[in-house]
Amino acid sequence: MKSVTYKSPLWERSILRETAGATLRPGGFALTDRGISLARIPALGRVLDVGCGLGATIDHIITKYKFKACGVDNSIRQLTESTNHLPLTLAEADKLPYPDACFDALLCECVLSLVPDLEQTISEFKRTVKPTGKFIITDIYQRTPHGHEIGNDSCASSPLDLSKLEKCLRQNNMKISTLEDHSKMLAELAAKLIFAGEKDVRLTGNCCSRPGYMLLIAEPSL
Amino acid sequence: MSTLKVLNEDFSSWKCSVCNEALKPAPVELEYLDSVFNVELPSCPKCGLVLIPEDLALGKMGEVERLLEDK
Repeated sequence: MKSVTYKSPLWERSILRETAGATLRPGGFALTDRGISLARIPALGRVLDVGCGLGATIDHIITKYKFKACGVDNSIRQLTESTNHLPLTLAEADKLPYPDACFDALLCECVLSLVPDLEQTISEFKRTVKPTGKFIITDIYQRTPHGHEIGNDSCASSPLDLSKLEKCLRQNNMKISTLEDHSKMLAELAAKLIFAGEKDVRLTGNCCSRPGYMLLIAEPSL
Repeated sequence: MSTLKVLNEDFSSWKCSVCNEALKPAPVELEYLDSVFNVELPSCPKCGLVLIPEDLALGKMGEVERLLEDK
């Protein structure tokens, strides 16, 4: 009988925490801070972090900006390892356990590329934000159209198709107000993972998909 | 920024050819194409000479250089 070894996804392995820190993503708090400054969230605003992982960003934005922030993640393991006092809930990104129109902004960092149903997820995001609410999204994206999947176990395996995301946003009366490329941050995290001994770091070598990393702010269309 | 442990081998038996001091692991900044990485490498505690083993130079460092060049 063949034995099967279960390999945890990259975001649940200690090597990512050792290289990326508690945010578990490229850019860390610096990119989150840039997104928050560009989104102009009202003082004491309500912010939801979808895919909050260990809750490090929640802790950061409560401390730094005094936002009323909470988070959801679908990983029991991540939530169990988070700091106890944080308002974190076990939930899927496309089934958020919140009433309509209750957040000023929604953060989704290095998570949207992993959701199984992008359309449903964006629709759910829109439902939970106020009519003036904004999305702050950082994620891996396809720098060349129609890229192939890379086939490892991180979000790099399924970079976002920006045209598909823009279409989903438009269907929900949202438009992209900011789109910035931060691919250097992705390359630097990949480099740290290589230094730390991760064997399966492949951002290149794919015939037409060279994933990049982006910051996107979406706001309601007029 | 945390220091990354990039070597598994023990280089404590190596000595600095100038100072004759045993090399000890020390934090070192590696810089390439505007990116800086804090790693731990065997260094001379007296003069600061850093040993970069051939396997590291041709292995992980080479891989990182290619990745950053292609970013």
